[in-house]
Amino acid sequence: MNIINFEAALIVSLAAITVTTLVVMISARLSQKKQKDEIMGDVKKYSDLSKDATDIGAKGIYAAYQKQGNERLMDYFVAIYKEAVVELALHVLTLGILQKYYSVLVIHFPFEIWLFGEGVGSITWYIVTGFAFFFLVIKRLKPKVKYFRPYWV
Amino acid sequence: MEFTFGLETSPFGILFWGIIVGYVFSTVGAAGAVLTFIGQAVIFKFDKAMIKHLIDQGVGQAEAKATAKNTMKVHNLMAVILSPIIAVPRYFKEKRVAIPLAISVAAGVVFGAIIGPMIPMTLKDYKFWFGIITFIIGIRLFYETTDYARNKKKKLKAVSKKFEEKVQELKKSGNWDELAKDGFKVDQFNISGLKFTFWGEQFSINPLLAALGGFVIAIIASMFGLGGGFMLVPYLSSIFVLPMFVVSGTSITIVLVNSTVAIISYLLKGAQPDLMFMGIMLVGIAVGSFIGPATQKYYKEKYLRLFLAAILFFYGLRFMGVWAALGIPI
Repeated sequence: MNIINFEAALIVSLAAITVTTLVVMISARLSQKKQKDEIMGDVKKYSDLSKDATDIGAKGIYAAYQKQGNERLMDYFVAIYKEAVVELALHVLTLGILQKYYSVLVIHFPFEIWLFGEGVGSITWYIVTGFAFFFLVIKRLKPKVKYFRPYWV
Repeated sequence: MEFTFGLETSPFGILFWGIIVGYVFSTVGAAGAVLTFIGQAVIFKFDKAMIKHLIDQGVGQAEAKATAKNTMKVHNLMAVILSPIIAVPRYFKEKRVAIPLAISVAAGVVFGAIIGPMIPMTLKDYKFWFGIITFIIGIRLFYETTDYARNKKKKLKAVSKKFEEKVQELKKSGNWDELAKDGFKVDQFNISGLKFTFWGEQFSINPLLAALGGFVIAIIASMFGLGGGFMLVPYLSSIFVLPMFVVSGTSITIVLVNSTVAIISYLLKGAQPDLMFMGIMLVGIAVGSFIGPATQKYYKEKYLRLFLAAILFFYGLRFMGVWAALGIPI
């Protein structure tokens, strides 16, 4: 048996490259950066003001600012969640398709290795090639390709 | 369509449920994990399908039930871990994580997230306790719709606004962006005391107490397949009296550590996540989380909260077995 299943490696790598590119373009379009900066500005403001309230011993006002700051922080977490779900949902779906329809060994080890078993499967291969493509190609292309950046940048 | 572990349902149904979860979470800011769980356990009966599938493959009933329970927890944790995976590297880049504090709490979290999944809990017990959590979130949402809570919120805003105007008059505003460039600096770090400067402000905490808190929170969170952010945020801001800009980056980093360790623990215990099921659900959540804010202006948020509170009460009582005990067949 060949150590590397070249056909599987090619198919899974192509899937990883296509989905990663698509996800970068979609997430650039739906970027939450503006909203996050605005919310963080509010959080900083409430933090600053609550500190002032403590300095003058106004416990009630301190609590009021902390509460409002925490509420804005929840908005911030929601904004992060939206961003994250856009960036990862299609990847998880593709991994699901691989798990269901194309669960094969891409690299076959000659012996069993602890934690890895008898080889590297299509799911692990997808994650590795997706990461490699993002850091080696997409990150370098970001300044040059406008579709990879938020629409206002 | 048949999924990887025996579930037979329409992918559009899962997508639709995902849209509802995303819609509710993006407008109300709560109940995302609870609705994901309701989808799995009640709408799609994922646990029952998986148990049947595993038994058909020759797995013993007890083991099949344990695998289904652990798999649902991993599904919940997968939904939880999304934000930290994306946000934590950015937080580190922007120097928004108080690293010494995160390390202190995470030291306890790692052990807690290993011990939590080891605590024996049957599928029935898990549903019961999840029912209690669901019910409590329902109470909280209902409270937020009452006139008392709404007036209190209005009053707080009015008082704060007045104070803010007064401060603006009296004080020249500090430049936070300049402070942010400094990031953090450890002034003193030993087993009994940690002093660090973060964004120009000095904080002093007890690292042992931080680790102990992280340990307890991680045990509870990992037992139920939760991230623990809902406990970490009040813990860091109340016990250590840390401001929100310290809490945000630090708590999400700790949630990442807790969720990662808990997922690995459950996978080692035999959990088999169905990535197709979760992938379709997450695509729905992504769609719903953008529809939510876009349509929010057409109705009063109060009514959505009331509706959601009613649903959570209903399912909370159902998971606790109250309806069954009363002889109501729902």
